[in-house]
Amino acid sequence: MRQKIKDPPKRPKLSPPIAFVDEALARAEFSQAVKLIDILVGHQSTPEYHARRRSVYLQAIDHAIRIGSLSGATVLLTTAEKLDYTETDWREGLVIAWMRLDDFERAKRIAASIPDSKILEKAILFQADNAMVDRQRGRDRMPFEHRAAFDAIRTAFANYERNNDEEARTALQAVGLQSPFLEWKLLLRGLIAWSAKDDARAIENWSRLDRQRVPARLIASVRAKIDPVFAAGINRIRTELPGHGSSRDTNPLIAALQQVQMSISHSEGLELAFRKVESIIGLMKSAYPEIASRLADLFYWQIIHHDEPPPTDRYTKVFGTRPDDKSLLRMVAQYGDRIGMGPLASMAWQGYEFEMSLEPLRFTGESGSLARAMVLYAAAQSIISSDYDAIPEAELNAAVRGIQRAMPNCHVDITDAHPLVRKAIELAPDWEVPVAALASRLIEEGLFAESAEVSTRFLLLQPNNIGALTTLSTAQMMIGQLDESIATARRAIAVDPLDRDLRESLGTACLVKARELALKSKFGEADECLREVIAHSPELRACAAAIGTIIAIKQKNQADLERWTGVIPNESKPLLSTYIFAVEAIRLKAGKPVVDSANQRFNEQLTKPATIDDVIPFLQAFNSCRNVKPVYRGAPAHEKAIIAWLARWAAENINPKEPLIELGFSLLEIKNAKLLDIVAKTGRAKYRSENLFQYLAGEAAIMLKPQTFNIRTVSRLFLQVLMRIEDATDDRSHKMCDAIERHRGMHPDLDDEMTPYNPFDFFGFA
Amino acid sequence: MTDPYKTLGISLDADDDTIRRRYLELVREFSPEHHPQRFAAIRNAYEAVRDKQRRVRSRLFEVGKNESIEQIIVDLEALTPRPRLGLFTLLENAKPSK
Repeated sequence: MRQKIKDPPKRPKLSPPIAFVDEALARAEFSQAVKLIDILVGHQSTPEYHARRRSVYLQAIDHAIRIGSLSGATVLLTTAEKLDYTETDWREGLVIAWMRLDDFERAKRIAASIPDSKILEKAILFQADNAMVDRQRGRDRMPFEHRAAFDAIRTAFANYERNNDEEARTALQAVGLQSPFLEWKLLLRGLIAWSAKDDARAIENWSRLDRQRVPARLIASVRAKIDPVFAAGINRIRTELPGHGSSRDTNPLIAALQQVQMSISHSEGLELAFRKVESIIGLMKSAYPEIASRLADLFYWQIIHHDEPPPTDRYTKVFGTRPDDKSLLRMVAQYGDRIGMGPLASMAWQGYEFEMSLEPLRFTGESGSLARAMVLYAAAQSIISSDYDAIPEAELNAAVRGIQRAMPNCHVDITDAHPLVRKAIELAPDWEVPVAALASRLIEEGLFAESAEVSTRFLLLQPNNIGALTTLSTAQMMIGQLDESIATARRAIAVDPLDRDLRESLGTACLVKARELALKSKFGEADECLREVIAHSPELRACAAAIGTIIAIKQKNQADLERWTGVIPNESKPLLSTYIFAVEAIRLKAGKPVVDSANQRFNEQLTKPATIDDVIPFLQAFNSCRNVKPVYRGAPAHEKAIIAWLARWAAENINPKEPLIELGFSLLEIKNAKLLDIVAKTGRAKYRSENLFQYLAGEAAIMLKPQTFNIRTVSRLFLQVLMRIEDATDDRSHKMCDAIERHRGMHPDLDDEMTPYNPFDFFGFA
Repeated sequence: MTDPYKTLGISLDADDDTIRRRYLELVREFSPEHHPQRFAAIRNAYEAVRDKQRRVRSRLFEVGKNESIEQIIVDLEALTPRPRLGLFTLLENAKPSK
């Protein structure tokens, strides 16, 4: 049987000898690496091994210095020097190493043996950095000739730290341009400028620093905070370096305000913000009274724009009594106006005015009277814009009691705005705003004589006030003082010949005069007036033409009939012409056949089957007629007929939702607020969840009262619309969003009211 | 700073003429070409106080309205002296965090 022959045992594979050196270096056993490389070079003296030996020696020396084994490093260096290599790199390495061991003489000696070498200058720079960071032995680590500069830098730093910048600068003068400490001088000059908040000068100094040197690295994080260009280039370094050198780090009040900032940006954060401010306000008032006062202003407005009732007691407790609003009634008034609580706001405004009458606050003389007038006018505006139905009675009563507690002797009236406006006018007779408002309001209420009286009184103070002249002209016309009305309008046009409203006002007065003359059969004079109408007011051409035609019919003057028929510009708007003619025929008592014929033509238009395509042009015509008020004030029967017709039209449609929506948007386009309001209300009553009607209702509210609409109501309507069309992509939704944004831009109070409900804001993700 | 009186450097009882003169002085000094932001601030401040009615309205209804916490923090920082960073403080801060 053959015996199985076993395989011979494998001999271990020998590594190349240089690998042992590498392994020793990898294990940081540098003395072992040095021994091994010496042995290797002894056995095999190749250029590669010699090069490797020089590298191993320099690594071992560097390691010894780094771990603080200075004697070990000295022994290694002495041995290395004896190796007698002549390569420049090797000898420069020895120079640097001796320099690091503070043996300047040996370093110099070796450096002198290297032709054209700059290594000594370079080494001294790094030695300067080493010396400066060595708190104990720094001075001794520099060659004797550089110790004076070292001392100057240390002295300058000490002076700077003691706020003696001038002495620091003087000390720095000892450091010359050739000094290895020049970098430290730049560092300190920059620091002095930075502490004085002269950032430009600080950056100028620090931008000259060598990034390889210690000063550049020491100041990097400070510089990054004031030098955006630098910061952009060192993002990584900045995040690694600890932040320091900021006022925020040294002033705890800044950190506290940052917490206030975080709280205040949330809708429910006012309570938190108050708590934070309470903890710092004492210190703030004593250290920074002006900042404390601005904080008070900030909270004042935050409260006004907050949803909760104003915490007046707390505000006063924290910030003290405001000199300009001692009882915080003005704050309550502005809050009331913002949330649509007109009665509350008016009461508070009246209380505030009462407070001003007792003490003129910061207003004196004429300014004091004007200020009180403005407050009273604000009180009147609050009443005019108030929406009693929107306010819960309990809430209103609580507010009333609060005001009465604050101002027990103040008697307020929240039902009638007129006395408040009149009192405002008494206080500031030359302030035109309440005069204009009152005069216009009186016209709207049909109190034309009173309106004329208000305007006339004001014109004694400001004879050329266009607004007052225009209103007076209208009022005079309405009370039948046509000649005076025309004279007033001509007086105003003399002041401003290009004013379109004035020219229309004069045209209107002439039209009424023509109508009056026609009724008195003074047809020639009437014709003159009608020519003036056409000259001043192209918008009234259709009216003038209708009157001229009726006069011609009365006179049976065929030539005039043709002339006035040719003037009518409304061939493209037959409904408008029909409507105007029908109204004028009634007014001018044109005779039964003419009136009947005109009404018949008008009624024919109304009885025609209506589609959406019929309705919209008709509404445009109707709207044009409405715009020539007050000429057509005397035709309410027609207006009622048209509204009834529209209602019938809506009812006759089995499902009028879509036509109503189209009608609403058409009314919005032609800006007929009254009808739009009716359409929106009809739509909302029938289709409660249809957001388009909510949107139209909001638009109608704004159009009806552009300055005084109920902010809260409109805000709710618009927010509901926005929530429902959030993801919609159709054109109409986009247009609605754009329009709502426009309203928010034009009405900051509406924007404020809508903002807290933004879901992104609510969760802090804004 | 949002206070128009401080922006223009006028007192609360300055009249129309004084305010106009001061405004013209400032816009000559801070032209829109060289100081666009400052010019805009001066212009806005002047618009707020150019006549008596605007002044009264501004003081009555708008005092502090444009105040912001961000601006207050910035201004408090400007009022706060910067620390003196000594040599060894810089060295300590520059040590890598552990």
